[in-house]
Amino acid sequence: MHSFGYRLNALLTFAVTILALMCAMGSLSDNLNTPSPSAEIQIMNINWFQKQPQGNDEVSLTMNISADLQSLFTWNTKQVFIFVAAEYETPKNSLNQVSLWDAIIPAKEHAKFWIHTSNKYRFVDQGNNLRGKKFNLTLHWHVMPKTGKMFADKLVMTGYSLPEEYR
Amino acid sequence: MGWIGDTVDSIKSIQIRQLLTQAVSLGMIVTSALIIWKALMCITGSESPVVVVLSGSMEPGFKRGDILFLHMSKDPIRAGEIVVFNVDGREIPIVHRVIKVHEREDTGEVDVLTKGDNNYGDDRLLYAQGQLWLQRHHIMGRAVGFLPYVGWVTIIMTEKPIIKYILIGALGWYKLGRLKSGSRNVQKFQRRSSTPLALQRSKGATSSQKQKSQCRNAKASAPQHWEGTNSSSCSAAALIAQRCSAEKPPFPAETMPQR
Repeated sequence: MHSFGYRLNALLTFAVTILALMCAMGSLSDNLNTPSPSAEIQIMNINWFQKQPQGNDEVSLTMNISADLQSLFTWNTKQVFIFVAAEYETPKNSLNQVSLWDAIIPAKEHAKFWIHTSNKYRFVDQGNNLRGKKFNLTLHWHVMPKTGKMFADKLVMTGYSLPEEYR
Repeated sequence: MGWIGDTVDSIKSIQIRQLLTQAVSLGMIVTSALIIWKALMCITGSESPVVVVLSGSMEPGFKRGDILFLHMSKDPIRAGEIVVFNVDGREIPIVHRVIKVHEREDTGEVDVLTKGDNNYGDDRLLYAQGQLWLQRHHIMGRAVGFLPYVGWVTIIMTEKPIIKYILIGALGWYKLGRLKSGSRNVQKFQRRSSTPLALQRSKGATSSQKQKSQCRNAKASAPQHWEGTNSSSCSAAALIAQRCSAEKPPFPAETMPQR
């Protein structure tokens, strides 16, 4: 009855229950945080712009990204994954999302940053619709918790456009 | 040889009715685990609502042994989401992030490209020969929740089956021990029966709630001196139930190793 096994079982059960409860509460507490992130992206240069042999348009560009994402961090935040995507419409596709650059922010101290970068992933269209194309740049963030529910949201920045001619 | 003799005696002393009661309560718990698993499948719309991460291609976000909760809704797939997908000719599903989406105007079909956060290049090398994009039917679900470390239980049990057998053996032994002492210590069992024995370690509050209530039901209907045995069978069965759910075929998902 009051054997070692019983005590161990009871203790373990209790410990695991408390742990599960704390995890759940930690995850729920994320809902109390109302983040107010800000970001700005400038396109500094179109490095080159051409039609691939397969017929798809491809662009290389240089961007200035500055953002303040400190308010996304809570005590249950393990990291924040951010990426910048170009979003546009073409006659064939109602939505194209092409990720251009991404990063992982490991801590709140690094959440206010400024970076000058060319696109990390290739900006390739499905087809050759990019000449003179107006597009949006969106900064997406995915908050990965230490435990529990994952959050995601985005900031849309409008009014970008590509040149009329290949270069 | 005293303890072996005792055990043999205790096995002999189990009567058919008691055995049946045990078998039924065990069956109930196994069945309820199955019901919960299937219900989860219905609710989440994913054929494997819970997956274990097997490799480090999504580090530092997801490490080996972490558990992901999947959801498969009708919502369109968008860049940035973490999806679990199957590739033709590859048995183990992969968990990676969507980096490109092209959604067709007329049909609404999507072309999706994925990449592991920790991998250098995108996943085209992992796809089937000549495959450039994932379509909707490749995707099993998107990750919505995260629980660290818990998946190690299944990883260890799959990779080192001996531990599984030791655990089952130990449980069996434990249970026989309880059978012996059960009739001797009725009063004390009653006193501590308010503490749920068979909790957690399994998938969630619902399953443990269920097991707990089953413990109570079993107690209510069984003769008094069987209380101890019933609660012990519950705790044993809770672990067995956990194993059942852990061994469901689609359970392990793999994120591919870093190249």
